[in-house]
Amino acid sequence: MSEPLLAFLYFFILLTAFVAVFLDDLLSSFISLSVTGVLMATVFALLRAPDVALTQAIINSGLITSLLLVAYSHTRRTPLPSGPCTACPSWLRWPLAALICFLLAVLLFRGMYSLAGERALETASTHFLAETLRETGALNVVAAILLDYRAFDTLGETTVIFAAVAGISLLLSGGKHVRSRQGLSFIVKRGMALLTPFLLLYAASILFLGHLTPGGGFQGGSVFATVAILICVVYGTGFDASRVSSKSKETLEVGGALLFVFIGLLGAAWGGGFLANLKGPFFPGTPGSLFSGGNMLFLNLAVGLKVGAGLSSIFYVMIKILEQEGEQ
Amino acid sequence: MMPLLRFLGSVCILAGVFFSFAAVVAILRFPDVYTRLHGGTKALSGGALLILLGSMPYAGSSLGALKLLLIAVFFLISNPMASHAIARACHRRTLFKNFSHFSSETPIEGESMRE
Repeated sequence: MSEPLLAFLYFFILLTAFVAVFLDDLLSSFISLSVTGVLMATVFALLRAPDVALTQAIINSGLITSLLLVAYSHTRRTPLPSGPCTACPSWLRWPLAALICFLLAVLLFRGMYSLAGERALETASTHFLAETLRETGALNVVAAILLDYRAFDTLGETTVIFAAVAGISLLLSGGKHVRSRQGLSFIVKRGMALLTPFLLLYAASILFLGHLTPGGGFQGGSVFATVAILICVVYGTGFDASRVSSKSKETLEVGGALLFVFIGLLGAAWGGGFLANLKGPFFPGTPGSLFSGGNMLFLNLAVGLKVGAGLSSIFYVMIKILEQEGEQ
Repeated sequence: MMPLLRFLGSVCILAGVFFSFAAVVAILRFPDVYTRLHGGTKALSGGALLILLGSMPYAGSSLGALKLLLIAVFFLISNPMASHAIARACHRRTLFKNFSHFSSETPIEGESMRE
């Protein structure tokens, strides 16, 4: 493990997070926050957690930044009160912040050194590392834990996303649909057209090879949503809506949820329990091939449909209102 | 062959670090949006490309080197595109009125708001 590099990255994570909180300009805060996300993804990749690194990079730098930007353009900002802050006197504020930063850095270093030893691998992880391939047929242990050992929790997580999409759509659903066909310039449109097939291929490879390599339904679905957001921005929302209407996005999302529950019930019908994998009607296959790991391929597809359609429809609902205000 | 390639890679990485540093200086020190974009895009494109090409001999396998080359091509397409979008957005919003460098001039009328 490269400790000096990790120490350097920890320092900059704390610094950028600190800067993001204390900057007055919100747009600069967003940029600082996305830098924090990229650095954290690098740390996760260095600590050999590529699944988490992928999620962190996609969600924090792609999706969260775009959603924050949309929220920024929706809202009005009032200038900060210029008088002295009563909650915390100014001579105390910076030393307090420095102290908190220092304590957090110490905790991070302690975590790093406890990860470096063998002690961390005494619990359930030894069982997972030794027995995953035999019990599930998947090469990617993280995917096996998410979609086999803890598949019921994953169903709960996708339900949370479903609730979030439903809530945001309900809150922002007022008004008529004004669709823009304006988009960005010719160069950007052509460049985007050149890049889109590769982005979609990348998303599909993350999604469908989730049980073999780092990645999976959540990460692949997020990349699909990011592609949808890019198309929405570059070509205007009218283009996006004419290709994939919000109705069909809804259908895809609900279809993902139904597919997940259907696979679960299939396992239950076979007598292996809800979401049973190899005890149900599924085969382990040859390790390393596409059709291995039992139901994981289909569960990844279900989660990917749900996350991709859900996140892109959140962005679509949010940007719709923005255009109504902008083009009146 | 390999030591020579690694030496050339190190030279490329050092040059890339220099260009990236120049890009940071340009973004911090140049007077307005367009010159900053110019410095940022050109120097950062060159810097990132040189760093990616320079790390190709260190990739370990020819597949890894090919991946680095693909990333470089992706960067070569996407970075100028993004800078072009930013510059055009600035032009359309006539942001440059806020900068002292252009304060005496009137905004250039050339591009219509809609295509």
